[in-house]
Amino acid sequence: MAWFSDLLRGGDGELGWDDLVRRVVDAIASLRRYGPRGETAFPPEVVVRITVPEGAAAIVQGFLDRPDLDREVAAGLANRCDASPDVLPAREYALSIADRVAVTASEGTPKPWQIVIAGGDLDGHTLALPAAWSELAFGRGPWHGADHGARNDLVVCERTEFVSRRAGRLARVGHQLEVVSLDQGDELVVRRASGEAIRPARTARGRTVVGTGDAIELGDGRGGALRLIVQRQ
Amino acid sequence: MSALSQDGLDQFRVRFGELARVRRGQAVQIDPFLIAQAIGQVMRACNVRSATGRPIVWNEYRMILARRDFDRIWPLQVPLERDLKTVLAQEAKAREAELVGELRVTVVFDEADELAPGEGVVRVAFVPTDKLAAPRAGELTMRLDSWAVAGELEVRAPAPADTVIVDDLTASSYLLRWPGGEAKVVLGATLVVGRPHAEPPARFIALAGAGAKVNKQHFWIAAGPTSVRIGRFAKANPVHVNGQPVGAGEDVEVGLPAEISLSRSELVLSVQRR
Repeated sequence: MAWFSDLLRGGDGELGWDDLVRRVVDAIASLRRYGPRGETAFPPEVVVRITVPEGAAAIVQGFLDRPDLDREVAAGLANRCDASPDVLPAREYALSIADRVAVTASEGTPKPWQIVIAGGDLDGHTLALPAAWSELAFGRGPWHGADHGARNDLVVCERTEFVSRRAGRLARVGHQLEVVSLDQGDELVVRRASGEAIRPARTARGRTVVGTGDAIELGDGRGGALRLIVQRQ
Repeated sequence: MSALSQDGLDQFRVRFGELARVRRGQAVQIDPFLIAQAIGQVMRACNVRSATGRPIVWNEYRMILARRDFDRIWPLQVPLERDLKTVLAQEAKAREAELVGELRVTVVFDEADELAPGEGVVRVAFVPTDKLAAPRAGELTMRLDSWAVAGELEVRAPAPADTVIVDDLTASSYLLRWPGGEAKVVLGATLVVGRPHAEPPARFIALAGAGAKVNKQHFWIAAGPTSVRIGRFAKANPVHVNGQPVGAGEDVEVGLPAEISLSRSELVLSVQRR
């Protein structure tokens, strides 16, 4: 009956948004295990490998580059497995070209992210992002807030005054990062390798995708900036 | 479909077509009135209350428009933002709602180009404004956007060119002492005290030797005839006066001598008569 289900889905070479979300959820759900008390458990990191015919690769890559896709996958997976979003694995997507559409998931160790600091009093330092994480707060110094009640996961400087203590937050969505500006406001700019500059505080979603080679600039309002260059090892 | 829907705790999506009640598919002309209506509706959607049950409304509103809509409204931006503040202040007053700081309204375009024409996003926040000590007779406080400058009005009679005005530091004063030095606190003056830094404010006492836990503007001190008033800046680290904590943005009046502890005894100062 495979030919019949293929026919209903539009054929081997077709992979629409909804199909992709459903097939990714199916693939990751197959890795579900149960803990000692029957609770749902997943590996901490999974790699989802997607193969598509050459003609569909650009469209599917476009889907994968949209952070909404990973969010829909997370919601679908949480519903399917009746699991809290906290226990879902970090997801990485890899696209390759083949004759047929296939989506598989396996436990994996994706390449870790790192941030190189350019400018400020920690100029030249490299911050390796932890292996399994979903959100990281960054800013000046390790502590902030009233009576230093809140903590920065990433200290990008110690004494560079124009960087806010609670400058922003990095979120991991699939194989990409997103940055949100908190107290840094309009002085947090994502400068892409292509030269395009976007201020997350001035976007409809309030967050902007950051890829390898892009820089997060924390400005002083007079043209100077501390730059965080995003890389993958 | 409703003209306003909540995207998250701090974000609302606006469909201007629904707000203006134009036919589906027809382009909508976004004007200052529609924007004011949208932000007014967002303000009314705030259901945060103080401990006493009094409504508190957001004081920062950022309207994000599609680039094409923004380009049309851009020439009107200055009067638009000014009028919006007036309208929102009236709305807050009508609701008898409290504001934690001055109203801030900005209209910008979506730099990620994700908004369709005719749609907008309103992002809201509570942004407290530092409370300054109420000015006394002969003093003036000026707030320039988010910066505040406080000082005394100095009015002198016209003097001949050969008149030399001498800084009156010998007038009656108190002495502020700390392990790294001392400074005079002239009677009647309000002085800002903090860690030494570039471009300090007027009437500033730089605490030589202070560590990083001491803020650049940690507290202010005003000397009266028999007592001193000490105020902690809203964003400053803890301040204790004679062992009693001073709340952020609050002040206390104490007799002399007095002991001031900054950042939980990081630096301890004393105020006494000379």
